[in-house]
Amino acid sequence: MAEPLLKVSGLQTHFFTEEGVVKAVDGVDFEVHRGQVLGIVGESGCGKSVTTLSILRLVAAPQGRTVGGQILFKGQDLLKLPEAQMRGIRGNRIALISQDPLTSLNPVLTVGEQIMEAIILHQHVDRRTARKKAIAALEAVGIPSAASRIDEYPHQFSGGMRQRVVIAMALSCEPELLIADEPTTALDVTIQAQILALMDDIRRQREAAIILITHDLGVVAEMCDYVAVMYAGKVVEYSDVATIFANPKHPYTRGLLKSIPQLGEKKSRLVPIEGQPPSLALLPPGCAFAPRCTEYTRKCSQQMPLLEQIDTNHMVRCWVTAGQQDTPAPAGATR
Amino acid sequence: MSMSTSSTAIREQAPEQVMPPAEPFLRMVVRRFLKHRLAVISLGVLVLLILASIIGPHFLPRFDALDLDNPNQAWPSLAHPLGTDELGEDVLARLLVAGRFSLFVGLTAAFLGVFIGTIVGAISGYFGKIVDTIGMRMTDMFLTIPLLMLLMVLSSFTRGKTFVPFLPQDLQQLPIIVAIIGTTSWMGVARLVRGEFLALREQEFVEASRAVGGKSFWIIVRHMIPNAMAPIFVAATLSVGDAILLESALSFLGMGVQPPVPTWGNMLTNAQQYMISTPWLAVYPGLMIFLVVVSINFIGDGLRDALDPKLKGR
Repeated sequence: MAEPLLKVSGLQTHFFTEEGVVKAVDGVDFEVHRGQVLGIVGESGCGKSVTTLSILRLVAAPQGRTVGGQILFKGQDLLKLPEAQMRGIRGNRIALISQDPLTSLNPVLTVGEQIMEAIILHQHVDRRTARKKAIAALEAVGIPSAASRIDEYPHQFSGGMRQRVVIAMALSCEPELLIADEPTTALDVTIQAQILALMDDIRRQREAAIILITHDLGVVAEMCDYVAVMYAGKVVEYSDVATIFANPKHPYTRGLLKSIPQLGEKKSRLVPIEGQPPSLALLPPGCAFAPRCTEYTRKCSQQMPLLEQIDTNHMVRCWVTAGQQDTPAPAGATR
Repeated sequence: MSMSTSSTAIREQAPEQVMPPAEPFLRMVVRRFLKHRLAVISLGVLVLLILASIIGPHFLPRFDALDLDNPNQAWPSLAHPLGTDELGEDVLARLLVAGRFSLFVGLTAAFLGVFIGTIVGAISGYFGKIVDTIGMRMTDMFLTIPLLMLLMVLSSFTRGKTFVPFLPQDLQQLPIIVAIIGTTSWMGVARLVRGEFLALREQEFVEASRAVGGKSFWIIVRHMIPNAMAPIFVAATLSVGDAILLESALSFLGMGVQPPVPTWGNMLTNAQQYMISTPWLAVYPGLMIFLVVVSINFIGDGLRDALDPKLKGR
């Protein structure tokens, strides 16, 4: 396959707090290709959002720091770029669609001014051109009578419309990579479907790549080409979407799939994954999922498994299912 | 994919907004301000005083110190509605001219103070950490200095110096007094703005702006200050009153604006000597200061209520 648009390998972002080092992201690898959607799934607090913030280098310093790994965007390591060049990439080549359209819009500026912000910052055009582009961006996300609504304030828009505005802001400079951090959690189901359809449109029409962060596996099945399942700051399984649903290997992925309610199925109870995710400051020495795992072996609590390739496009981090049980891990590969 | 066929249809169906057009912010503020009766009356009083100071003196008799027929220390009469002072000058005329200077000093000094305070507070609150510590300890330090003493020292150092070339000599002292008051009364605003910024900085739209590549300066000016405008505006209003009081106090102590340029403060000083013979000379400037400061405080109150987003329902 061609060179990926974004290739993240061995990413580690830690927070240095008074309670100790919180390893929010500790070994994340994935690739995104043009025109594809990568889903990142996992429980709350497993490092999904911190991963995206790390890609944009927006982790709050000085407590939070990306201490290891590589983020290659079109072959260029973003972690090594000077801040000024990084500013030129944010919003321009890589754009973020944030989770809550209510709070990510500035209440005292009109939506037009906010969409024009990225255009003026990156394209150095005059206000009139920027305004035309902003209207075009609003039209592209399906806001009716965009030319007049551009002068309205965020509170004059409904929730779904506001999320469209946020997407228009992200699209205004035609980025190559869109990162959508739970773009639909704050919306009701029908609006969710509209927003997802809109994002799918964008992907096809502009050949943009999308990283979609979500904990809704239904959304993943509908939207994504590839899926990275995260647990406790690590990618535990990575594969194309069909394989993940048809043939999940990691016990955590299986647990996640079992805990989805099936429509039309008369089951009295869902099957939850027992226990709680571990504190990221006090991770056990072995596999972080071991205490909750149904297929636990002694080795699991002693050594961290590696993310092993078990098939083309299928990687798993597990001693048991990846058949790593007998092969001794190479020295120093405890991550 | 089934999505691709349905997506365009969904897009066209995007529901038209049915919300009523929201009331423009400014109109809402005005409407709420008008409900605050004391504030409206105060605004009327203040506007009247300002207009009277600007226009009034043109309609009143010019004072001629060489006209020996001028009665001095006269009782109020038709010719001199508020009487005359010890030099025979019409008190009403002098009071209104003094109003020009007192109000000018109050307004400009307050503006300067709010300007400095906003900058210090914004930088402290936005950058936090060591910058915040330095900014806020500097603010604390300024607050510990007895203000009046500092003002007196500063004004005695700068007296008689020329800073603004095109002003006539006797008005040279005005910009100096403004600068002195402005640079020593920004601390309250700085603390207020810093507090606002500490909260604003955590807002997602600030991160959103950073995510599209905004620099710190851009984020502060474009996103955060507009959001902090309401409390800044209220503080600015209230500090006009403080600045007028400070100027009066300074002038009263003889360290402020010097006669023959009249201000309400130095008119009070002057009247002190004639408390027995013509006590009304002290009453008028005192009353003016009182009226202006009280009005401004009520206006500030009214603005605070009108701009408070928590009272949206009213």
